[in-house]
Amino acid sequence: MSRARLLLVGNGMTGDRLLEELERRGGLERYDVTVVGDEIHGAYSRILLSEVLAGAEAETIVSKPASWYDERGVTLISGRMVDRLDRDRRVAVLEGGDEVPYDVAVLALGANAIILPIPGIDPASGVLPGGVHVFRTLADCLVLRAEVDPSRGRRSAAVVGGGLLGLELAKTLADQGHRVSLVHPFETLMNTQLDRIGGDILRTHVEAAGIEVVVGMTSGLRGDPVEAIELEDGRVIDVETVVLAVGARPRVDLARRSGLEVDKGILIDDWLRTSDGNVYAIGDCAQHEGAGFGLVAPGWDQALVLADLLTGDRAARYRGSTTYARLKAAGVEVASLGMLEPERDDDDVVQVIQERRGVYRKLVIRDGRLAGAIAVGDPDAGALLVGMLDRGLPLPENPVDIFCSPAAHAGAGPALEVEVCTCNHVAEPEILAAIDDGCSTVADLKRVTKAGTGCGSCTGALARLIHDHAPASDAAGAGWPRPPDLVGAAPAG
Amino acid sequence: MGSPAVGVSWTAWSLPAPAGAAVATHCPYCAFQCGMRLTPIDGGAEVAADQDFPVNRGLMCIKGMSSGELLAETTRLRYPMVRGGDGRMRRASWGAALDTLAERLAAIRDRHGPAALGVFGSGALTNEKAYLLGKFARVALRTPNIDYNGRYCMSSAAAGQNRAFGLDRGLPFPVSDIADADVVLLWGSNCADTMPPIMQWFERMRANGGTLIVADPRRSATARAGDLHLQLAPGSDLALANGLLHVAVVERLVDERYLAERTVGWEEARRSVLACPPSLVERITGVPERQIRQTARLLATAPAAMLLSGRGPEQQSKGSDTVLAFTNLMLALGKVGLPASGYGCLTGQGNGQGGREHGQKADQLPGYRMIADPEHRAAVARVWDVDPDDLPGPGLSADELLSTLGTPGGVRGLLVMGSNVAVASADNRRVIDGLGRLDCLAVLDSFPNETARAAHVVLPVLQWAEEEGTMTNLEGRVIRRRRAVDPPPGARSDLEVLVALAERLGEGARFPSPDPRDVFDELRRASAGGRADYSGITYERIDAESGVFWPCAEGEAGEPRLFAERFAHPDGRARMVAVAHRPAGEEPDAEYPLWFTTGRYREHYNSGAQTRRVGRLTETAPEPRAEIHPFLAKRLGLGPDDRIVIESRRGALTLIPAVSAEIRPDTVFAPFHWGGRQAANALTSAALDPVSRMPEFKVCAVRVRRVEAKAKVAAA
Repeated sequence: MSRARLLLVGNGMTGDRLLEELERRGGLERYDVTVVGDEIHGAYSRILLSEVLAGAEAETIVSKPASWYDERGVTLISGRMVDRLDRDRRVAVLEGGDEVPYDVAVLALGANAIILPIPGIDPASGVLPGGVHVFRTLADCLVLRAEVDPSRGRRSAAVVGGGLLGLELAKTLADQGHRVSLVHPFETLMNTQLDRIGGDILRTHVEAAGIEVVVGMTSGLRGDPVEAIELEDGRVIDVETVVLAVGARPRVDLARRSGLEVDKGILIDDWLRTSDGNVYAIGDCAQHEGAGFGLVAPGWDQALVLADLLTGDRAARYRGSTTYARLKAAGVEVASLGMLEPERDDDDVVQVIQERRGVYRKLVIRDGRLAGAIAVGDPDAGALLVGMLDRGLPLPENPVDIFCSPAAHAGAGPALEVEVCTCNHVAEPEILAAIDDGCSTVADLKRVTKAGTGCGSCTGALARLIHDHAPASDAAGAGWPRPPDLVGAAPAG
Repeated sequence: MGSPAVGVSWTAWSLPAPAGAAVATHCPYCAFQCGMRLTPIDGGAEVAADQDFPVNRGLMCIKGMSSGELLAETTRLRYPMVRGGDGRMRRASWGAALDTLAERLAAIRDRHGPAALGVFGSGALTNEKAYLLGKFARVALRTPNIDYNGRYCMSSAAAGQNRAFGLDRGLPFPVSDIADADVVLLWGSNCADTMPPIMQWFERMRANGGTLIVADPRRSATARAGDLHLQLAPGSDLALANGLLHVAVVERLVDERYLAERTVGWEEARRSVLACPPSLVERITGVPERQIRQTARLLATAPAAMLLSGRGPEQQSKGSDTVLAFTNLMLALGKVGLPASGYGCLTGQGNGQGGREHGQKADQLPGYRMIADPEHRAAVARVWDVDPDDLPGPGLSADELLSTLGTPGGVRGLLVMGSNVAVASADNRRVIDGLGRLDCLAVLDSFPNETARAAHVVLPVLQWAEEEGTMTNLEGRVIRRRRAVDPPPGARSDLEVLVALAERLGEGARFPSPDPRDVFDELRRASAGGRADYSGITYERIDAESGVFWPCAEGEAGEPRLFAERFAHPDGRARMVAVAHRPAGEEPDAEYPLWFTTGRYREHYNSGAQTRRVGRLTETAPEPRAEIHPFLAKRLGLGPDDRIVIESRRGALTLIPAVSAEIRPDTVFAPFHWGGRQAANALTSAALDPVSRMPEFKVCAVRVRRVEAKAKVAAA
């Protein structure tokens, strides 16, 4: 029996994940799979490009070398792109005219870096002047890396765009010793993920890391190779290298040419289907209920659901993703998730600001549950908050309690006390009380409290408590009263 | 790093051994097998920790210290019982009970075939018993269906280690090596409660400047004794391990030279963890990226680093893959086989190690041989004097075997030796129902337990201090269990019972002796040349050397430390295997929004069949309590005497709550030592690991509600 033909167009991180999940579910046996990707490599991890920029070997981020496809009977057509789908004939027409027939097609095309429509860049060709870069693909990365190789000396670099990618690039370049300006049109850095306060606090951290933050709208580039950036307000920044990190746009041309419904992205339903039931779309090129993401995790969520659907789990549905953005650069950790601002009248907001320490936490609460959060400068908050959001459990009455350390919960109920004798569950206050009542030897304590009569491993601790707390009997000067505030203090290990 | 947050010290301290006729043996409970000295006294024995045994060095926990009470225990089974036609259990003579049992087993075999007979063994059995039980199933009953409760315990670690290293010995080094490590990552083991005397080695390690990292959803007694606690979400262990490897790869902390010389499969494993960036792992696990990086760096840069796992990560439907993620990590860091370094698992049951080596596992034959391998079958068949073709093939794993009880085509006659399956099995109501459907259930035990309630034949057997034999501890050290007191009249040894049944089944010639030494000698021959080779081990050598480490072929010294030169695969290289996180068999959802996980109390052991009889233990820990976070307690509006009902899709449990900020707010914990209406396993899920067939004891979804103190009184 011949197998159904599955065509995957796009070999980025989402397509890569789909292949993984298909393999795990036996999908590579079930389908005759062909992958078309316009990059010359197999799949690689785009989120590790900054590591390559910082000097890692390019092949270390490749997740699927050519051999991967060979070994599994997957046909890889790399370095080429599909021009359009002839959906009536179920054939993909490649650029240059070759055809690849399919029964099911998956579009995982990703997004293209946005190139600003400004003087200095030819709008028709999109060809960039020398020294001007985008940072989306491994090829982009290698070109930039060659230019900013620290062994070639310190350069003046400008990163245009103060979002996640821009900040990460600015930090990497600054770490390499370059003089870096971060040009951003708004006062608030990472304005997609942060509010004004969060952006301000982030900015102080960024500046402390030696990156100059320039607030202004980039209006033009001078020179080829580039010599300067022009800002709308007339300022001019002299630079030798410019990286445009102003966002990405879903790749929808192929879908348009194929007659699929497209808004900002290719429109998909809960089954990840486009307007053609035999054609699916996932990742950055797709648009589900109005939402596009530009992050890896939602595309991976979609890849999981699609792999389920394609391997026979008809109950699988995609219900949308909650965004979780993390920045760990510029010497500060940022986490941003879900809703950033209240939307309904009864939504609640809690903000905890430690401005002088550069720490900011914000909770957006709906119906007693976490709906969104921001954390700047608190490295451990993100993991906690995203768990709360994903679990959807009610928050405590006073939501700030979630930032408590365990010790702050004392008195919340019949809590377990710190025990000295864990065999017989004897806690320190009980032992100190026995010492107050006259126990002066380990044997006394054993008899009175039962501590130390189990495995005996706490005998040393009992002896130490007697030494520290029992009044010495005769020795001159001994027997000073013990300050009452020591009662209940944690013993030294 | 900092001093421990708790005022407990594990500094060596001990009771002096009493003078006189003390017998050196080992504790009846866990795999640490503390050396103990028993001095017979009226109606029992006085217990003292053995100063000279190098594993516990004079320390013991309260379970071991109070174990002498078991010898005076009045509810001990003292005579065989057989269920009559009226359904009532009646005292029977040994001869009559054995005749009845043999007849019923033979009748079931005649009518339904040998596979309708099942045997369920235990990690508490001596090597001799485990060996003879496996032989009894295959040769006397001729059934493939024998498995044991170690399937609930060590099977995921065993599967992972076999795949990675070609050999499954819990620890590849003596436990004392822990003291020489610089960093230990202790993963999902609450050994400060479950095997307290091991803490002395972590204390020493820390006193030498070492760092203890503990990964556990609870801030357990063990976590409190460590320097860094990774409080991961239940079921996320594999994601965390892959996240650690991702960091090691990206930060170039891996040992490329070691990988090139000593491993196979690194490229695939490395590429697979590219998909595990810390931001994603943080979201799945709840462990902050900072701690993930810190842990990876600590492990990688330590000259000697260990990762030791307990049941937390292993008792999951992805447990064997999780162990492979552990071995991948430690291999990538170039640690496995280096001094005081590598991966190990802390075996749970007293003879969980030896119990899995000598043929009471559905897919194995003695010497850790595989029953599906023709050469292995031939080697064992020679020793057993049978035609290899007459040996059954692989049988059903523990949970699968118990799932078939009394069903069409399933097991109809079951012999249970030293295991309390009615309490210890995941989703235990299912198993209790199955036990009730059996045509014949025989239980061999020292005490009446929940499983025996459904039995047709109950046979009283000897307990630890009354018998001779060998055990293999968590280090792979074979040690001697010695008789210190006389057994009560009426009880017989398990070996005697097996030999007597074999005679009645017409196979007496192949079961010539119930003497433990004779059986051990046969075990030595049957294991010779196998992966777990015991042929060079004798009782005399064990006495002279404080135990002997396997593998130990005739004339060899034994191997305290494995993998220094090569791994046990034919090419000498370790295998690295790409593994990926996947959800648990059951994840929390809107209906059942919380995780439920199970574990142990310091005072109790396994199903509690022994420890619930010891006054000193039940006084301190009389009942199970549900550990819940203050947030949850507050949300439920818990009053001082209220109880909570925990419900899963399989059952419900009403417990007194223990409110503690040391558990995650999204997780409920309860111990599994109790049966009946207090059985935590009424809630757990039997989702199985596809390789190890381990049930998912550690993760399921529950909801909780409050029961008012008033209502409780009214109900009582």
